[in-house]
Amino acid sequence: MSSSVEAITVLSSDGDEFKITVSAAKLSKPLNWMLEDVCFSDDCDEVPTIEVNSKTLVKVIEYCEKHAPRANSGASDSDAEELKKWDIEFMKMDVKDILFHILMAANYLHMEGLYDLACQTAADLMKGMTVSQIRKIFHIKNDFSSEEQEQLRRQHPGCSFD
Amino acid sequence: MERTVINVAAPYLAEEMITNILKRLPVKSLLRFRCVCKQWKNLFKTPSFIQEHLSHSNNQDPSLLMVADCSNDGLFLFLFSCTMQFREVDNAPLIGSFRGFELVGSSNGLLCFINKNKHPPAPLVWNPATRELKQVPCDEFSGLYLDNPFYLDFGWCFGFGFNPVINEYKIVRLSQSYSDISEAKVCSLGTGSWRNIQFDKRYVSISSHSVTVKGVTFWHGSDNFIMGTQDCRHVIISFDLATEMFNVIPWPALVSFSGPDFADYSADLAVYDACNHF
Repeated sequence: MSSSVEAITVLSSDGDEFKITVSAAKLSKPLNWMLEDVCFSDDCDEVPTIEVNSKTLVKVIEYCEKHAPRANSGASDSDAEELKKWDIEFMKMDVKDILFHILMAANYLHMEGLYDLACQTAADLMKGMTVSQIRKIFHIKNDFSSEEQEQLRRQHPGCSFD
Repeated sequence: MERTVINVAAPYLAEEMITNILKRLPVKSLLRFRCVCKQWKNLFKTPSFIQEHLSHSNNQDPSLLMVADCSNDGLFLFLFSCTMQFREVDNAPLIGSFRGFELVGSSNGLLCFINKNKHPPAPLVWNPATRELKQVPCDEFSGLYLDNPFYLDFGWCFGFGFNPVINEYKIVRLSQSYSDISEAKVCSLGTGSWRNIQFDKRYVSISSHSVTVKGVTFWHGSDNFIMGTQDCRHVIISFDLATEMFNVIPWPALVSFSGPDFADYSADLAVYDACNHF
């Protein structure tokens, strides 16, 4: 069943309520299935929980609302160009803080566009990072023994473990 | 998602997500990040990751390879990208200059050259991104050629390409004398050894560089059956890198013959398109 309302209320994993328009929610496959299965109306008191924290959910909803008009109706090339610029601005966030949360939320909500965007942003940021910074954000331990490090340095002069 | 990690540190990403990020990194960064941990170092070498990285980067900014042959100073290679960036490709280590070299072809970013200072010419494959060079063992002069008074008239034709069906790079080498191809050999990059293959088309000779499209190598050639006359027929000789079968296709009637210089990018595509119509 398709819903007759224009916006629905969802709960974040922190328990905060958020409004999202139906057309924006359709960008997420699981939310879209939910919209088809559940009849939302003004007297419906069912509030679905999205397992995404409030800070991340705000950003995800912002992305959905911005992309919904283009996703639901084919837009012109100039719109696409404008949206691309908007995406770049939107992604100017700290990896440590929220980018990985966005990435996980996009994966959980089956949002291919946002998932690709978050992965690409992470890759672009990584280009300027040192090896030890990379280990930190991915929670990786340096498991090369000192002999192995020495051997790699011999094979590839200039490689750095820091 | 655990509450404790929120806003304190980056959350732990699933392996599949990390791979999805890593496949977007340029080779230069991947080489640097093989020092992160053993798992990453090994991951970057797996065929599946290489394939994922390749198919992702093929969809990105493709570049046109341009070769300038300054005979005294060797070859100079340039990349011309979609964003109109022009840059020179560094020479391979150990080679210094590409003097006496000829480019056979490029495939997925790998460049195959032949060193014409050697007889028969020795192929080598150069990956400018990883700066790795693979010299393909050159089978030595066989007595057959040395004894042959026409040896000096032998011409060597090479082809190089990747066949996605067998997931393998191959180099094919044809030796021809006058109007016939006397020997065909193929070498898989994985094994590095040459094998004889059958070339059963008579009176056919090759007169161009090779072009490999979708795992099939093409040359422009001529069918010299009408001996003693100038009337050779232009043909396209194809070699399927997966099945290792040769085929001779008549020159497409609708495509005008534009001379034996066949290495022009658009001409390659034009010939390939024409082949597709048969």
